[in-house]
Amino acid sequence: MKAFIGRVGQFWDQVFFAPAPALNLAAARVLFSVHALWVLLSRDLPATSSLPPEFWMDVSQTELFRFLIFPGHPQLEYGFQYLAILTLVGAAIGVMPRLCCLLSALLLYHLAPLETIFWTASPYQRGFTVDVLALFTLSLSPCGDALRIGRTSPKEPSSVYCWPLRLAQVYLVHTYFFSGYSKLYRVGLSWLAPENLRSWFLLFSQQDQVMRQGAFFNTVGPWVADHWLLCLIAGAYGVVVNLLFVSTLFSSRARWFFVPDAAFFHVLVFLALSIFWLNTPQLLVFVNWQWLVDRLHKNARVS
Amino acid sequence: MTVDPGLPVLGFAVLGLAAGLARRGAVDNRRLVNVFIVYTLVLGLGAGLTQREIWPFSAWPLVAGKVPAQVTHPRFLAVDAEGHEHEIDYRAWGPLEFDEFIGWEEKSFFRLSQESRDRAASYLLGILEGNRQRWAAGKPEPYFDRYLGRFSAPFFLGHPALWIPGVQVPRNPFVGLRLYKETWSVEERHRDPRDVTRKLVYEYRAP
Repeated sequence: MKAFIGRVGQFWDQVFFAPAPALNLAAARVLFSVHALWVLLSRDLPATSSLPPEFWMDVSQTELFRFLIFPGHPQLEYGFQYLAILTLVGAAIGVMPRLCCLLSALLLYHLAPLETIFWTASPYQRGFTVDVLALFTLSLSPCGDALRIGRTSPKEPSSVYCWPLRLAQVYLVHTYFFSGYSKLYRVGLSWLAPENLRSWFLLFSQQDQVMRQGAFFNTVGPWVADHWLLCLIAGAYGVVVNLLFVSTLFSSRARWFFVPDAAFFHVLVFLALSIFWLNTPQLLVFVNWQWLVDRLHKNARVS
Repeated sequence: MTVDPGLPVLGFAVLGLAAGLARRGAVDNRRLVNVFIVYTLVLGLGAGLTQREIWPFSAWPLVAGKVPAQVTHPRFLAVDAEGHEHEIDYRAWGPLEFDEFIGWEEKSFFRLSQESRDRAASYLLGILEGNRQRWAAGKPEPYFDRYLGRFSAPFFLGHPALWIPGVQVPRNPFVGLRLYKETWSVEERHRDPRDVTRKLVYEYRAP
């Protein structure tokens, strides 16, 4: 028993407290703040506040209080949005990075639900979900030790740079793992049936209101639907590969396969179902930037 | 007993801040950090495995269902003074996002009293007509691409661009709104794209 506990402890330390470079954690800070900024500048979240009372009928007081949303104050919400823009820029360029990450996370926790609150309190696929969690976690860590104006990066790897980055990766892994799991939980193994996948491909190609323009968008889906084997593979991808994505947390080899594979998967889903996965750029959180920089320096020296 | 989802999230924030603030120089308070990590993992797994939303911890139920034999989707059409119906560009709902607005329609619209429904429809018609006028004048309000233009983040679902500013926009003012429910079988529609049943379920006309 003692040996088992020892091994679990060793594994835990290996996953969360291995010496890691400051650069990778700082890169995560830049990645999530820029990503959140990208989505925030592409929406008009504060406008929701000006919706008439009919839109708020089904929203409970608990939900409003939880996100500190008080309808009817769009100007105040625009103020919060501008503040969020400032703090996200600060986090990205490294001006008071921990404070900026914390304020960004808090402001986004309030602003993000505005997008959907009038019909659901969970804006989970609108782009901010992983950002809120990651920015909050990064604010607890020395995420400003690198990629910060006026400061040189520490050379020594440390365990303090490991666990916040790993948690940020865990948040992204949730999106894949639970996406696979939810299909089994809600439907069962029959979700993988090629007939089910065929129906989904056909449905998305038949909803003319939910379709992107371009030659590929309306042809890939029906084409896949007409090939039993492709539907079978798509089903396996939707469940098995998503579940296995969790291995990226423990294995760098798994990262080499599953991360590019996920990007490829999103391209296919984009073409076949018109679904744009806003979290796709966040896959860069799995890149070992320090390794990349060292390699580039080495190549430069050699040449 | 149901626990308000805000409470576990508050626990996440409190434990996180405790772990973050207890750091001394370059050394973590390992015990507090461990507690925070374990709590975070349990909360994430709890939301996912039980498929309950504790946003920002989500269950991520993406396309996690079966397509029913008959699917039904809503379609709003604008009506002009001559009674002609017009397709509505998804951007003409701005600042409302089309998918969120449709989500609200599906969940709440028919739970409203007739009076409230008409008030909501009047508000929506106002949005549409205002945007139609701006589009017709060639100056649409850039609700979603004001800052980043073509580099703006796309929406989760795609939508066709039906209107072109100053060129392809309904010319007559909108005076009414119709809501149809369209029903079809995916297999039958695959064989014949016209195999769709359309039923008018609500109509609003400005007084």
